[in-house]
Amino acid sequence: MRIWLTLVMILTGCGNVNERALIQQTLDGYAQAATQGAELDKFLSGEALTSARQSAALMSDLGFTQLGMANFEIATVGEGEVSGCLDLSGVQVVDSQGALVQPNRTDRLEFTGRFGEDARLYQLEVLGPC
Amino acid sequence: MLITILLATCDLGGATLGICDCGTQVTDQISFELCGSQESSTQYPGGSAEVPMRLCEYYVNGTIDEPTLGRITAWVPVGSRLCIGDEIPEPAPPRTIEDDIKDSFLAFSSRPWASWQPGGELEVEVPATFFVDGGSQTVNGALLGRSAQIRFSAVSASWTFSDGQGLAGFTAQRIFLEPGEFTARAQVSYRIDYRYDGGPWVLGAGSGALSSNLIELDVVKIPRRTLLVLP
Repeated sequence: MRIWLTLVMILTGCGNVNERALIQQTLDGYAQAATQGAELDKFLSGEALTSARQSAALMSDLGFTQLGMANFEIATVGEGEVSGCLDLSGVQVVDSQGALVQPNRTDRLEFTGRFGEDARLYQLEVLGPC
Repeated sequence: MLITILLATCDLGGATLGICDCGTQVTDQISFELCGSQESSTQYPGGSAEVPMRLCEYYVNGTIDEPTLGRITAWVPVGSRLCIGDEIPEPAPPRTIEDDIKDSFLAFSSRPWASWQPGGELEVEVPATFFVDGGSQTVNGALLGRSAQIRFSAVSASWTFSDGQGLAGFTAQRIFLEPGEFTARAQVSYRIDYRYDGGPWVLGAGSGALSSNLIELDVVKIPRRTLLVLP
């Protein structure tokens, strides 16, 4: 009986670790794709994808380019939800002339998201300071 | 330049630009609700204090009639772009061959020259003859981008006098019954033909009218004396 319980706990823990790693991979992929201007549908779906494409269009319309990659730091993950801190300290924005744009922003922001069985985020919400 | 950007949602891109500190929720339905604003500053290319500016709002895709989730509000030089709320101008109709014919007519034709006889002071009840030269001609031009020959043929003329009387014809005659100062002007109507590359003429492709110079007449009544001859 003890052995069985231990096994279940190990397996459950492993599952959580795997899920965390999988979602971290999704978030990192999204951050990288956002930097490169690559297609986002491998990492996002639904509202999150719509919103991300909208932001990409806005950046393009303003003639801005993102340099550097954001870092999603997961605090909790489970039951289809993820939350943590979004670190933007390594992200810079330049305009069409190559001049650095210095937006008035907070570098560390709280985020929450929901993901589906395909590990793609269908909802992503950036909140206040982390 | 001050850019104010209003987004309905806040995600990585919005956070990167620092434009979504409002912490809005992503709604179930895509909507155009504006959750908040954040200002960021950047240089406006070519902007200067002397250029009159206006605060302009337009959609993220650059249009004012295709709504997007976000809107951009920016100070822009007056007249540089359309903003939400502006009237969308009607698109210019496509240019036709009639437009080119009309332009050619106005560009190449010369004013018809009017004259009269006998000239000088005209005595009442003495016939005066009026002439107008329509100046028909053929010119080389371009119609809808193709070189063409365009022919203006004077087909009719009409005269208008300051006393309200009118006459027709390239040559017209009238008498004045009362002395005074009068003016006359002819209007010549033209038929416009054209042809491409020495091909057949397209007759009556257009029409036009030109006014002549103004003729001024001084009509006088010369007193007659009766000579009485006695036997």
